Formats: sequence, structure tokens, C-alpha cells
Amino acid sequence: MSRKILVVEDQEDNRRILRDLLMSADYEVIEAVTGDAGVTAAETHRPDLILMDIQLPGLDGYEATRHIRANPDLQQIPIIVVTSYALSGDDVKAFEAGCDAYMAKPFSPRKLLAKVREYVP
Amino acid sequence: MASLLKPRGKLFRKYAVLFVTLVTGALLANGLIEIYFSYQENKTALARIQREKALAAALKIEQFVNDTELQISWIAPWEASGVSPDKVGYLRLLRKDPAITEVRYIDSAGKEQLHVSRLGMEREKSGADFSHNPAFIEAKKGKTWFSPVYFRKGSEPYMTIAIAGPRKNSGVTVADVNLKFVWEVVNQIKVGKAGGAYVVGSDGNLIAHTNISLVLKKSDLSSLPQVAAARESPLNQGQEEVSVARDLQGRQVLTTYAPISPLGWFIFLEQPLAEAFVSLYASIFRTALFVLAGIVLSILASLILARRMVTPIRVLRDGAAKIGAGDFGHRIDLHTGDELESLGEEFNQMTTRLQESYAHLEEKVEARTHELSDAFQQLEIANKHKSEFLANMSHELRTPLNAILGYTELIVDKIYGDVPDKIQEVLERVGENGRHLLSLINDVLDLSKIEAGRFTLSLNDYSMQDLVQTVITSVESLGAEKNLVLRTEVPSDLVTGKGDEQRIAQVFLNLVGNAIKFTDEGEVGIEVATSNGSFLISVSDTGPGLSEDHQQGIFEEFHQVDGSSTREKGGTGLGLSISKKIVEMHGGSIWVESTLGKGSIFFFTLPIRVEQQEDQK
Repeated sequence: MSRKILVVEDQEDNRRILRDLLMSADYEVIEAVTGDAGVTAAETHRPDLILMDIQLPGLDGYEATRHIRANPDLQQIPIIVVTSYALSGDDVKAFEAGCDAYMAKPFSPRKLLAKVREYVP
Repeated sequence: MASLLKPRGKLFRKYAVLFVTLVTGALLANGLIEIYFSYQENKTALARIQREKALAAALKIEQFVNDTELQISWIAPWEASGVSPDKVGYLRLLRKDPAITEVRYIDSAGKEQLHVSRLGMEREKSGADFSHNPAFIEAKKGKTWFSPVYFRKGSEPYMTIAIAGPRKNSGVTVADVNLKFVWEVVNQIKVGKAGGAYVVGSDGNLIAHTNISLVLKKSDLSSLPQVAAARESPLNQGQEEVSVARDLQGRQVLTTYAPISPLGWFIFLEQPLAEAFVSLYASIFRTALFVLAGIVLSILASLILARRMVTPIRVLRDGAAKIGAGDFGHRIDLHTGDELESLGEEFNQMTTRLQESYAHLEEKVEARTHELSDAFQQLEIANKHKSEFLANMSHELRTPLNAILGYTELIVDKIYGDVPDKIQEVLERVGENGRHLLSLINDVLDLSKIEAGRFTLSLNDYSMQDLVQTVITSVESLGAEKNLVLRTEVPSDLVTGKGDEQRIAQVFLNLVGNAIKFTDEGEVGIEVATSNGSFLISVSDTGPGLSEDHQQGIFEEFHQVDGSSTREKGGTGLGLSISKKIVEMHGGSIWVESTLGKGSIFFFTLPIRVEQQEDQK
């Protein structure tokens, strides 16, 4: 049975790259375009991993992460933050919000895949 | 300012001293001259009076002697025959002249023919021999002979007068004359209270003195300087010179004398100086008092005058000092009615003008400052807008670039199926260029964030060993491609640092990346040491090195060794500038040591525990 990965990303190209990459590695990909949709999708689909963008319309990545972590049923799902903000302190903020790993854009698809495999083999 | 507190300035002292010196000098000179002349005049006047008295007394004595001589000489014609003297005439002489006590007649042979005496003893033709007696011998020479003074009964002065008759065979009349009259004359003379007269004979012996005992002792006065002087020039009657000498008792006396001719005697009048000059001393004392009073008054007057002169000058000085200290509202208030007042007025006018121009200047400065600060604010806002624009722009640039890079890598990784080798190679070039573009954008983003003041450090604990290891890991492949040795010297016991690990790594990557980029053979070394609470990091290479000129500006934005190398080596020219800012934000410093052709060493220091970010200008 293939693993489910939720991708929360507003940029269509980024979504497609992640989708193509993950599907090529035989993961099932669920996509959400906004933070709110991401939280809803997490509750509905109970994914094995969430890839979270930070800069999202409405609820941003940090907030969405906090919402997900607030739900006891979803607490165990690993969350990897993917951001194009190369600002210092973003990683700290991400960890504070409750995510498990941090990946700055531009990410190498190979490296991202390796990171994903650490949590969902 | 200290001079303002001094109660008396130098000027006051100067003026006061000048006035006092002038006035007291004049007064003193005047007083001294007056005293000198009044002393001289006084002395001369005193002496003149004294001398007149002396002359008068001398004249009296002379007259007495002359009278006596005349009386005696009148007898002479009576003994015309030369044989029998006129006894009656002799007796009449005794009666007529009480000073004559005895008269003798000596005939031309020197034998006493007649001797009459006031005591009633008469002798005739006693025949006593007088031929060897000086009275007879001297008188026969044709001149009246006066004997030296002698004393009878131990207390009365006598003198013998001998006169020869007019003819050749005339006898000689010898009379003994009592000189008590001379004593009386001397006793009558009073010079002041303590002064008196005395008579000295031609031999220098005292003849008459108010103190008779001195006379009876036959005092020889020839040693007294005034007596000696008189005897040396007996005829110097008109002498104006006043002598001050000492008398027998050794007192200082004012002395004058008159000669008594033809006896060769001298009468001296003397008065103790202490008495003679009593009035002179009083007048000197008065003069001194006046001078003293004058000096006291003049000192007071000088002080008042000096004060009046100096006070307005002080007002001027204090006013000028106040104005000089910036108190332009101060006005000098002087009403002396002279040049000083007009000087004060000039000062006031000057101050007014100064105040006006100052106020004007301040307005201008304020206006200009306002304009400047407005312009500066606008400039700052514009600069911030620019930086924000750049930051946003680069973010917007990155999003599509990320997509390009992502797709390219997916293709290269054959996610979309097999790729022909040629396309694979081209796509790798695309990725490479894309990453370069991204790093350019990132650098511009960093720099604009620094300039916009939005660049903040995230200060956390970090391990220097781990950090260096991470850096080595990411550049290993680059070094290996160029066959360079990567050497690290990091002590294993380094303490945990605090700082922005990611940014420090950025600095490392920049320096090591540059070192690898510009070095074609040899090695690149990373060394870490600690000193004075800081990490000291050096990144050395065996590259071409830097000239002095290039070392100067190497940490400035968009600086590279030359334009060609920028394109060739693929740098942005911003790396070192960003590194410098990051190091400085940590409170450290960065510099380079290099010799052209021998490689370069970049150093930077980082405080081990950075608790607060340093502000960037």
C-alpha cells in the first residue's frame, strides 16, 4: 500500500514538481492550495507526511502547522516545511510551530526525496 | 573668568601707585627743600645776630681799653721836664678811672720815680729798677704796651698798660688796670638761655668766662678748633661762614667770634645747637607734619581717583566678557561723559549688530537644517523603497527560477523518462546557470535587506567544529574537481559559540568558495583558533594573491579583482561585502593579508558568545 503525502503549496509549478517527484517514487500525493485547505485535507486524509509551504494565502504555513498540531489525532504526522524565504530565523519559527524538518528552496529534488524517505520509507 | 572674581585689578594698582608716587614725591621733595633752606637761613640769621652781639661786645671792651689807654696817655705831657712827675695828675687819674688801681712813673733811665696806689700807698723816688721790665722796654719803643692778663688776690684779673712820653727822654707811665669790667661785659652777654660769651687772649688763654673758675684755672683754649681758626686769621671780621663746633663741655654749639684789637684778643659767643635750633626744629617738625598730612590726603585722593578711572574700565571689561560669553542681551551702562562712555556705546552698538546677525544666522541655520533633514528623510524613504523593491523583486524572481531549476533537475533525474545524453548535458548547463542566477539574486536580496535594515541575526548556540565540517562537506567536490588539497586545523576542544550559524556558514562558504575559485593548484586551508574571547578564523590559499590597491577596496560592494574574472569565475562581487557585514553584525572584523603571486589569507574574528546584534549603519 502506497504512502500518502499531503503537499500544501500555492504555486502551481512547485506543486507539479513535488507531485511528479513524489509520484515517481510511488507515493500517493494529496494537494492543497491554501493553509485552510491543507488543515482540512490533513483531517480528511490523515496523510503519512505533510510538505508545507510557508508563504500561503490566508493561513500561512506556520499557522497551518499549529492548527494541525493542535489536533491530537494529527499530532504524530511528520511535517516538513519547504520555504523560499531564505531568511534567518525561519527555521526556528518552523520548529517552534511544531514541524519536524526544514528545507529551503531551491531544494534539490533528490535531496528532498532523501529527506522524505527518512520519515516515510 | 577667574579674573572677574578678583576684587582689584592690575590697572587700579598701577594708577594708585603712580598717583601716590607722584604726589608724595612732590610733597616730600618740597618739604625737604623747604627744610634745607629754612635750616640754612635760620643758621645764617642766628649767626648774624650772634656775630653782631660779639662785635658789639668786642667794641665795648675795645672802647674800655682805649679809654683807659687815653686816660693814661693824657698824663704823659704833664711830666714835661722829665724829672718830676705830676703827682696830682696821677692821683686824679686814679679818681677818674676806677679801673686803674696803681700808677707808676718810670724815668727814662728805668728808675721808679713815683708810685701811687688806690690803697693810699704812695712812694716817691723809690729808685726801683724797671729797666729790664718788659713794660718799660716795650713802651720805650714808642708803642703802648699791654701786659698779659694776670690775677691778683687769686680772683681778679689785671693788666698792665705802659705808655712812654712823647719826647726822647720822656719816662714811662705804667698803670695796673682791673679788668673786672671785661668780666661784667662777658657776664652781661646772654645768648639764649644756655649760651654765653668768653674772651680768649692772644696766647690762647681764657681771659673771661661766665664760669670764673675756668678762667682762674688758666684754661688754654688754643686747642679748640674755633679758637685756633680765629687766631690763624684774626682780621677776618667779615666772615659769613657759620661754624658749628664743640665747646669746652663738649656740647655742639653755634659759635661766632669778634677780634678785640689792638689787644689781639677774641670774644667768642656760643650757643648750644639744641637751643639755637629749637625754632628750626619746630618748623621742621611742622613741615614734616604738613607733608605727612599731605601724603595721607594724597593717598586717599589717589585711591579715589584711581578707582574712578578704573571702575568704568572694569565695567567695560566685565561687559565685554559677558558679551564674549554669548550674553548678547547685556548692555554696558557707563555715564562718565568721556571717551570711556563712548567706547561703551560702541560696544553696545556692536553687540546689537552682533545680536541681530546672530539671530538672523540662527534662523538661516534652522531653515537650512530643516530643509536638509527633510531632504535626508526623503532620501531615506527613497532608499528604503529601493531596498524593499529589490527585496520583493528578487523574491519574485526566485519563484519562477525555482520552478525552472526544479523541472530541470527532474528531467535530469529522468523522472519524466529517458533523456538523450546530449540533452542531459545541456540541461545540466541550464541547471548550473540557473543556480548561479539564483545566487546572484540571493546576494542582491541579502544586501538590500541589510540596507533596508531588515537583516536580523538569529543568535543560537553552535559548534564551530560542526560548522566547519558542514562547510567542508559542501565544497569538497569543488576542491576535488581542481585537485586542490583542503586542509583544516580546528582544535577539538573548542567551546560552544553563540551566533547565527547559517550566516557564519555563509561567510565561510564565501571565503572558501573564493579561495577554491581563484586557486589553480596547491591548497586551501581553514584554521580556527581562540583568543581574547573570540574565534580567529583564517582561510588561506595559494592563488594569485592581491595587490595593495585591490586589498583596499575588496570588501566594498561590486568589487572584483578585474571585470574579466567576474564573468570567468562566476562571482557577483557582493560576497565579501555581505561577509563583512555579517561579521560586523556579530561584533567581529574581517581583513586580508596577501602578497601578489604568493596567495592570500583572509582573516575574520567572531566573538565566541554574541548576545546582541551590532547595529549597521
